[in-house]
Amino acid sequence: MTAGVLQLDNLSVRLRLPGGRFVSAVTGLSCTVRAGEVLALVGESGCGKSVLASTILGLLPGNAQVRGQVWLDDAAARTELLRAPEHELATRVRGRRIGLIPQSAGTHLTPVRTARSQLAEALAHHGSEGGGAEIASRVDELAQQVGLDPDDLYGYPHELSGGMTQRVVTALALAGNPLVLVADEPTAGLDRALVDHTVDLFRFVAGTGRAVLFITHDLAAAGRVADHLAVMYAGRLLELGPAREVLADPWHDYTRGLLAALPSGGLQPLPGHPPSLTELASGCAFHRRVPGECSGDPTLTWHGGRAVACR
Amino acid sequence: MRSVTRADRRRAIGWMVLRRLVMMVPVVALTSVIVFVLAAASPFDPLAGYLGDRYLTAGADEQERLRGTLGLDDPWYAQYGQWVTTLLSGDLGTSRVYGQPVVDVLAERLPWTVLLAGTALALAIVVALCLGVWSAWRHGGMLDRLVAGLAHAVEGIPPFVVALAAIGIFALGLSWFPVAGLTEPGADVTFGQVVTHMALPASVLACSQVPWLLLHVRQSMIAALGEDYVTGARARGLPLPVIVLRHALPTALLPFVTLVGVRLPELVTGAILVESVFSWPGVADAVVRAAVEVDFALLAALTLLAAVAVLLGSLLADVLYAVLDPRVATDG
Repeated sequence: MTAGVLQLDNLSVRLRLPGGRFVSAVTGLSCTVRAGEVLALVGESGCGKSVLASTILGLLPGNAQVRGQVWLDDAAARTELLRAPEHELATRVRGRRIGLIPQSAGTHLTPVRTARSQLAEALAHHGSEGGGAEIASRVDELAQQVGLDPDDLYGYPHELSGGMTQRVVTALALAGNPLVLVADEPTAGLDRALVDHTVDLFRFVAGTGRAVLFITHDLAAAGRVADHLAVMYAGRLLELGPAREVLADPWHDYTRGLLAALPSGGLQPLPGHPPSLTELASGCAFHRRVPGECSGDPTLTWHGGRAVACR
Repeated sequence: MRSVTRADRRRAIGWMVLRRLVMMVPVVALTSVIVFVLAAASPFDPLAGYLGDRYLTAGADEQERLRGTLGLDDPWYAQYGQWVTTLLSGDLGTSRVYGQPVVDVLAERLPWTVLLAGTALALAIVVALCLGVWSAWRHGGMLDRLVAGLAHAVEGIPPFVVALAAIGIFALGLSWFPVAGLTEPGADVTFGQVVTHMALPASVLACSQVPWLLLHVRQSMIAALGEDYVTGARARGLPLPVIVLRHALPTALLPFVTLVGVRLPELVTGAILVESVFSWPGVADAVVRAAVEVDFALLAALTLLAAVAVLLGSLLADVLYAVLDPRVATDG
């Protein structure tokens, strides 16, 4: 295996609740995102996916407890993000080495400023040389890169269409020229055409040599763009491997269930509901919901280039 | 294409201003009618104000004659009609109480009131903005709780108590500032004199406005700091001052702008109270005397002035809001 740009190693995140209880959002998760590739992390809502994005960017709330390691390895340095001080994350990592494409792009833009002013601001703070004119031409360049008409940037966020705001937040994430992009449910609430457009944008971004972690509940969108697929359930990875192979021949019952729930799979929903992540019992959470053949051990075991749990 | 919409926006705001200015005319007219109706129902005899001490010595015949000359026995609508006629010829009438034209009374006193109220409002806004933003930034910390607690406490104290306490401590106790007036007795009106004499009343007036302003700024800043776009700005790695001042503050300020416009009447009332306590030579004294002695001309002018000030204040707030927030409609 080649070394990845972003490497999650046995990562666990729990959130402390009042009364001494915990939400186990992520448990023992390991995966690698490589340059030029899209890794799609799929799972139902509430499985801990978004906590993962906040963990990587150091934007977790104060009640979070984190174990394991997250390595960021690019031209700039090799950094372990969980132990990096906030000052370093704020001044050297966020926006510069890791870009975030957030869920609901529209609400992530400051409503009283034009898209252009926010893009120019991001460029100015990420070391774009020169005065206003040079920044303005960089803004146009970046806009064109993500498929925006530079004139559209004169609009305020509420004047832009869903597709345009999606492109604006992508351009913002690219402003600091980071090697890693983390997209946190970027397609939630978008219609099919827009979803396709958005994920195609990730394909394009990965094509420029960047590593993209695409966090989504939309297996169809993930299948469209991902090189590698990681399937997450109740805070754990249950299956990991090349997207084409995993989709063609899913090994884990959960992956099979997700595929069956798609329109192309016959729209058969999974029985039951995902478990609450508070006071999660040890062992395999999925096979407690849907009985099946299970070793009782939900840690991944590798078989060739693919990994699966419960074997 | 976009520049066209910006020009459209400016034109829309211009139309809104025009529409609102036109709508002010009936409001002001109605206000003036109400003043005359209320004044006619007043139990005070306007002649007493006109004659002063001579009211008691003047015979019934002389009083009757004066009533006739001054038109005091006319019904209110007749007096109102006459007032409007002279107003339209550009004359605000003569104040019976001061024995000089209303215009002169206002010219003498209004600038001092505007100076006092303006300084106090500016002071209150600056203090409330700085403390409110800073307090929200450190939300939940020791100093945030202290500031919020103090604001709630001060908000509960009536302004005249604050005024008297300020006089007691800073004027009588510490002798830092003069007790009252615009200048030392007999001294010229110089910049230094006015500043030292205005320090206490302006601070007291500001003090009465700071708490609610501050608590509102703090609240909307706390809300703004939790918004997605602030998280977005953090995720982009922008410096903290940029996140606070360029992303959180501009949206947090919007409700604040309207609030200042809406609370202007309170500033006017507060100013009158503070002026009385500090013997400030503003319009407060004129308001009280005109009301007590039923000086129609002065009373009407002062009430209309207050009404126009409040209407203009809220119009200004709405225009500012529309300029600051592109999402606001200008439909009026």
